Amino acid sequence: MEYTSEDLFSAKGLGSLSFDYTSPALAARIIAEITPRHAQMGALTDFSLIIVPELRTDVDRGFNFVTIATPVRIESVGRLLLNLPDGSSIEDDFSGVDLANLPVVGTNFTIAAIADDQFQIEIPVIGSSRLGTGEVTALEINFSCVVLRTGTEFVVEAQLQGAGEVAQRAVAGNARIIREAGLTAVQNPSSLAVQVERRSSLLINVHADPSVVTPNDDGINDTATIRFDVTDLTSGGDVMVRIYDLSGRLVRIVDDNTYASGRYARVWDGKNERGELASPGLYIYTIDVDADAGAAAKSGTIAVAY
Amino acid sequence: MHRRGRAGLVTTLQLVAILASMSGAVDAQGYDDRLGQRREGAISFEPKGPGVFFDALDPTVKRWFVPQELYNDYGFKTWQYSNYAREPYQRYVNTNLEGEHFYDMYGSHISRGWLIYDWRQEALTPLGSSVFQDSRYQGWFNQVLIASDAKGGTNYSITVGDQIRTTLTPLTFSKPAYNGIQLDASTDKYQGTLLLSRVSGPVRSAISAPDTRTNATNMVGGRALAQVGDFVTVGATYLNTHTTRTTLGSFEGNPVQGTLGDGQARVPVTAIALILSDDSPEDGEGGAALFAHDIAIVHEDFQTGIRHRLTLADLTNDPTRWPIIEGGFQEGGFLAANGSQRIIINYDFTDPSYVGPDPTEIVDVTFDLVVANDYRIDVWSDRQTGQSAPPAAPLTGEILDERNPALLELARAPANVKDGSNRRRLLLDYGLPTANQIIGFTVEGTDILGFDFYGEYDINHRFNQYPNLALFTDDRPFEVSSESADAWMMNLSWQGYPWFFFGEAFSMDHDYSTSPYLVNSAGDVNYDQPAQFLYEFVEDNDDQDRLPDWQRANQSGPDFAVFPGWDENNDFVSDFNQNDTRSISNRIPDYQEAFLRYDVDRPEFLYGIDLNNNDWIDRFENDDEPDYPYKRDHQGYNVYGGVRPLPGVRLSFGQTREQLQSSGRKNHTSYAMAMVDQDYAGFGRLRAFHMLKLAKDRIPDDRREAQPFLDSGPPALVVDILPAQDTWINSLYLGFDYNAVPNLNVRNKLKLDFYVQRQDDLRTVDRRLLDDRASFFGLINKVDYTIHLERMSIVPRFKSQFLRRAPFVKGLDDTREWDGLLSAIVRFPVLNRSAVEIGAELHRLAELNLDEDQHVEDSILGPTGDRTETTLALQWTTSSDYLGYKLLIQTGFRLSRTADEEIRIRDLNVSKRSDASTGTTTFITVYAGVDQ
Repeated sequence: MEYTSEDLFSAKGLGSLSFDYTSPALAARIIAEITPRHAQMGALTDFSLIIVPELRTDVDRGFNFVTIATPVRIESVGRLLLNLPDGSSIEDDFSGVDLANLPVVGTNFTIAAIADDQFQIEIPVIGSSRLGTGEVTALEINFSCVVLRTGTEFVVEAQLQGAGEVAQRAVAGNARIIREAGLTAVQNPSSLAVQVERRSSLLINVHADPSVVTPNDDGINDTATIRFDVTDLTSGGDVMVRIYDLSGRLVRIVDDNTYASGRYARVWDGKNERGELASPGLYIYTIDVDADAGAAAKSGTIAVAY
Repeated sequence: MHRRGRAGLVTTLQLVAILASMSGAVDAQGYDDRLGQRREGAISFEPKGPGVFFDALDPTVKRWFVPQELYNDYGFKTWQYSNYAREPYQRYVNTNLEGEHFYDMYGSHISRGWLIYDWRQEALTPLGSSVFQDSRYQGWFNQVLIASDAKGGTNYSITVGDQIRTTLTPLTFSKPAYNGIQLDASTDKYQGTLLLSRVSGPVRSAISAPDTRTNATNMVGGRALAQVGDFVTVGATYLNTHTTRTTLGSFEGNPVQGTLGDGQARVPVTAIALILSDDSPEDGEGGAALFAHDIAIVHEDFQTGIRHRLTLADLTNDPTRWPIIEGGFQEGGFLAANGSQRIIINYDFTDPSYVGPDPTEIVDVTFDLVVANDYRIDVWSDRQTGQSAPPAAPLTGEILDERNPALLELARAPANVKDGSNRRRLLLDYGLPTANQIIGFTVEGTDILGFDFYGEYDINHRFNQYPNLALFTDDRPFEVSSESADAWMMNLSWQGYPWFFFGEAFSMDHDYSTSPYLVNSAGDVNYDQPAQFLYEFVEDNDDQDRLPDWQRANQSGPDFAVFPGWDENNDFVSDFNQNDTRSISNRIPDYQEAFLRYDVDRPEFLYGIDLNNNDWIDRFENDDEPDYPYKRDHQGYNVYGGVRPLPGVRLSFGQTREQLQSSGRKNHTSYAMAMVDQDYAGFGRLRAFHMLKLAKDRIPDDRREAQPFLDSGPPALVVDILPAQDTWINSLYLGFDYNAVPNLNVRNKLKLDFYVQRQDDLRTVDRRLLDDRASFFGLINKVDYTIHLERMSIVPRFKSQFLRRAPFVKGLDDTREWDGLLSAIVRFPVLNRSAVEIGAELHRLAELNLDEDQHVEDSILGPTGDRTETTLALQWTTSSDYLGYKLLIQTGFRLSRTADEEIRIRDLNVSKRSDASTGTTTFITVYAGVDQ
């Protein structure tokens, strides 16, 4: 533990330190690997995540719930497959399923939740899996997602639902080849990280939806959502979203904050800084990102009509 | 028997005839040509091999030779009885005093004399680089040889010397003591210079035999200037140092890119490590971020010449064990190293997990990294030799700290990026330096519409080669990788009375290098010993004397007696300790020494420009950098303009914008300046200097503390604490000398520096909080009057000095002190050339900040800082002429009584006491003066 402070007169001190732990563990270890490990920046990519646990007989309790941290909200979930130690397998295919109403319950699996930065799958309890013996249980999760910076890490955590205990994090390793060839586990930190080629701009996928707003409180097109992806930033860059009229006068600062890489949406309600409804006409929205090694700006138009 | 005797007689006669004819030749020859060969009536000195005397072709058994030196010089015949009864013996003449005959490469006789200097390089032979300097080079010619010629407006000269003042341009080559050969040519419109030197071993002292080497580092450089029109001069500069091995063919590879020495390439590389660290560790965040790494190894089958390229996936059977990565921490999909942390990637070619080619077959290694943020990447290998043996792989942070192995810098991130927005892929070749090259261009204009300008652009290439001995044979192309950096500067000035303008812009990459490595005779380089293995195109010589400030190979130094701006009389002695000598050291600065402290004031009363805002006047700074006009890693500009409204009055306004390329730190300083220098004849002189600055300076400018001693050690490093990060700085100096009354001198000085911080939470580089206000106030008043009583003079003097300092750092105490002295010196002559001087001085130092009464009341013991010192001195001086010198004999004594005040317990009472101690000096000194 390292204690640092910019205050010269601060003293070192630690009041208490606590750990939440699960005992016995869910698994001796959980190996996970994602493919492909190279993707195109900002493009929807189909990923396959293999999870292989190593469970000690009569020691580890297994798990039935998996949480996967993602850089942005996933677009879809495809086939879920569980290979069992006896060589059999069970699967559900959620391709084309509407994920708006969760949970989505399949025959064997359940898509429990989807958030902007993670999704959760409920699976049958994995209670047995011994590496190196051929009696391996392997879970394959297919999903579609966008990657916005290189080195994006998909963090996988397993839980035993109902136990009320902490999750166990999977380590990156050669899960795919363990499943296919039964080899021993080899950890590799890059097995859960996806690399992307750098784009020329820190801002991509910029658009406003809808492009015409009618802010008359009728519940239809009352606001415009300005969507954009910030790429390639490991920590926060200064981001400003502003609305101008055609003569260049600032109408509204919609957002002024610092954001790391991610997918963002900011809403303009058709009002100016004083809270008054904007006059009908064409307006320009601009998004500026100011990073340490450069800046990016994108703009578009939103029409206001009544 | 008879026939034999007849034949002997004939032979004898013939021999006599030959000797007679040769005797005539001896008579006819002058001394100068006695070693020449007579052929068909002519004396020749050209090498034509030995001849045959046709008349000496006599078939005798008796062995005889055509007489040579002994007969020619002394009339001595080998078989002839020697009797010196009548003709005394003549000793041999020392032929060394006559010199030798020398011939050029065509066999033409050049001269008879002595070989003084010779440098030659022969290829494809061991020990082919040879330098010879005869003892006469030093004894007769004082280490400088000059040959020159001229015709019309064309002049030319060659200078060979150990200490030649040579400058090509300020950014490329400037040395007070260049060791080598300089060839200069000049015509009305064109000028040129060629520099040649074996910089790795130029031989500085006389040697009896040539200094021959197989491995050497040579330098070739030059500059050409051409005048274009009447006002513009354009120039080009070239400099190159490269390592050579004379066992390689001259035309193999590219000579300017050099090769590796025998020692560097003899043993294959078996371990390489990359060290990624935070390029701005002081902020503790946003350091090196490593997203991905790979290595590409090219290996060759030297039998077939077939090459293969392998990457990490091919080189190991276990990517978790090879390469071994030490340090750093995992952070969101990348490995990070912030502050003092390091990521060390170890590539050990002997590790069991390495399944790549044998190290002897590796001919190229390239690192493929994806990095971001503020990274610095250094490389280590077991072929990067240093003072101590390289550590065993794998390297760890502890090994780096303990063993301090020799590292070479590979890359640094520009600016201090912390958000990953500079992510990039780097392909970095591994190699050891073989050559350093600079190509530059200049343009200079004079008085064009009132403007003067100077511009210079230089690009620096540094060449490296992978160390594998098999690569360096003369039948294969050399493979070289290179890195480049550039530097440029522009100056523009304009004068149009009363207005004036000056502008300067500059940029110099952090890795712009004028410091190539040198190989020793074994072909090795110790990369961690700059004093022995670095050569400098541009020296660090802040005091602009003949001695560089640092220690470098094959040159004098280091010069610790660096007095930049403190030696205005150019006697190599600090003006703050003028009575210091190399014979007997004086360790008391003049501003503290009795009697001298009246005239000499403390350095704090110097005033001037401090554009880098490190609380030290720029022209008095001593640093550890080459003397470029601008610092490395800096880019920016400075402009000022102004007006001279009255004679002696100058008003200026300007702005400085600087940025460190590597860290992005900035110095934005805006300033206004007023100067007045008025001399009122018969009344006095007024000098005023006022500078107001708004400084936002976060660029550290460390300096070396100048000490006014000749025998001082290395000057201490003074870290720039960054006192002006967002600060108003007001500097004022007022000086007035009054001399309206004959023999009365009144001198007054006032200096005020005032720093006002514009933010509350600014901190120094070591994280201490800056105080809102910091200041220096000093006031000096001096008066002396000279009373002449016939031959006697009496000079009473009084000096008052008040100082007040408020330090930059919050929490540190202010200081206030008053320093006063009253003295008188009486001088009167005795006899004709002798004089007596009697002096008395009372000196009082009062520390004003301490509440002494309160300390007494609170029983806080210790010194109060107050001091009283009384000095009495008597000196007798006699001057006489002796053997052409003006002999000065001084004898006398000095008595000093010093009392330091202290709060202490005495007789159970706490009180202030001063115990005096007395010191005496008695001396008799003789000087041999050359003054007339």
